[in-house]
Amino acid sequence: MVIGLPWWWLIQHVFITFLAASAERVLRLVDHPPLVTSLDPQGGAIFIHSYITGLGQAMASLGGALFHFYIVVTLALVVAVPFRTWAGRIRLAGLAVGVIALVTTALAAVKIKLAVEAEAIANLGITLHTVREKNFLESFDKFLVFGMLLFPAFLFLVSYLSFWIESRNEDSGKQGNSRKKKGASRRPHRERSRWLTWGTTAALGLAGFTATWAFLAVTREESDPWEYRTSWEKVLELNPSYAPAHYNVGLFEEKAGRLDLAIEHYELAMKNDPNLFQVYLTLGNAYYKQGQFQLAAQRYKKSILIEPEFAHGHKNLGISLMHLGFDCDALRHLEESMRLDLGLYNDPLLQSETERLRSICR
Amino acid sequence: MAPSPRRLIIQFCLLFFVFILLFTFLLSTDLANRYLHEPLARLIANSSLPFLAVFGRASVSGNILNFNGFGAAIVEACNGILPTYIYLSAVFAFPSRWRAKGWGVVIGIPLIFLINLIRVITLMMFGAFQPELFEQVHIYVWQALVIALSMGIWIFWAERFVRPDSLGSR
Repeated sequence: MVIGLPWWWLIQHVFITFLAASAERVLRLVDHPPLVTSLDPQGGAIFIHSYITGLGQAMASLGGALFHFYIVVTLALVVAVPFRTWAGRIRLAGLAVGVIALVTTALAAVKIKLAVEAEAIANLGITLHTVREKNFLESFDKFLVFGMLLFPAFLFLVSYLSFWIESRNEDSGKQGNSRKKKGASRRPHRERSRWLTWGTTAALGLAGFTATWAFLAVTREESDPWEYRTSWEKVLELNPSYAPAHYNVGLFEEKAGRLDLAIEHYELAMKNDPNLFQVYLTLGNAYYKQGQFQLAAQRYKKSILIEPEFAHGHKNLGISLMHLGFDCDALRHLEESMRLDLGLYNDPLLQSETERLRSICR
Repeated sequence: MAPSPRRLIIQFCLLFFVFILLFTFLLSTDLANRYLHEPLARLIANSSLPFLAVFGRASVSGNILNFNGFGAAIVEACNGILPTYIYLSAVFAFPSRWRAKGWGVVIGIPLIFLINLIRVITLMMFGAFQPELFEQVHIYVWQALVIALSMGIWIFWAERFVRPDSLGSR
């Protein structure tokens, strides 16, 4: 597994660049805000990362996972099912990889487009049709998962059926010779072939899962922050009132420790698009870091007024209210956040704070 | 005269996708949600409880399972319906007698339910004891394992119950 990693990394990088470049071509056909793009392979990858930031990383991981899953399972099927000739295997492998590339490109393009309008809110706050498009994106995710499960299963079934028909024809053709051996068990070589099939599939599958797991653990993509920042500053040159660009530049300033400058950019983002509820959360966090809990609470309150089901908005408001001494109001918002997001529900710190507040308020 | 291999394969492909579409349509209705998905999710949550209770504090509320402070909701994607109907579509589309198909249904549905139950229990344990691995096991390992095991059950059915002469009987 460890020996294979560099090759898998190289192949995966090529695949993701191909995916990014293809998705970009598709996206150019539909209407979306102007982007910073580049046509060289590294730029293709930057396009995905800079435009969608957190989703870009998820896309890289998803693309990597899809690639591994499909390719490994497909190869396992092709190698394990006993075709008569290698030509048959190669044809099937070529067909499978070709279909995989087409399908994943199409799915990636659609997902990126939808994510810009819906899921990117969590990371970028680009637009605010949350509930409707979030529902659509959830349905689309289910479709994506379904496709991931269905395709290898279908491929396997067709391969197995071909093999089964072939075996049956072989048996019928030699039935006359075997009549004297009525009641005899299956010929030894078919029995060995069957165990070889199962064994090979299991071994390849296990190796594939382990390689995927190790690969994702070791090479989780972290893009260079300067590439993000340069891209967003270029967007501001083209369009100085583009709120998401101010927001993202603000994120970089904050990461670099220049909180005042970050707040300036967040305020500009808010001014240019007052419906960006994500900006209120980030602005609130910036004020919170400065110890200005009143201002922080006001911003958090605004974010949940725009998006009432924004779990993190509720959580952060609850924490600010705790600092301001409004324990029972804080409890209400913390409980709401845990109701909306199971990830927060499972947070041990949040659980203990909520318990403490319950003992005060009830 | 036995149908040609190409015809059998095309027939299988068409039937398989027809059944997939049919199941997808039927199982995405509100009626299916109310009478199948939701009760099944609660059944899985309640069935997991006694096993989890052996290893720690476990509780259930509707379709939400809690184990040692880790909570998870059993949603539609986790109730095993999806691999079940992929399996059933494969059984119905495969050229075989109705008796064999009946055996396929009788064997496959409980086994896939059991596999899904094991999946939920192990995921809850990962969530409670190794939370950093939960997402990876949930998305990358079990998704593929469930479908692979369902295909394993299908192989068993095809090898054990489908008679070789069922191809010539059509």
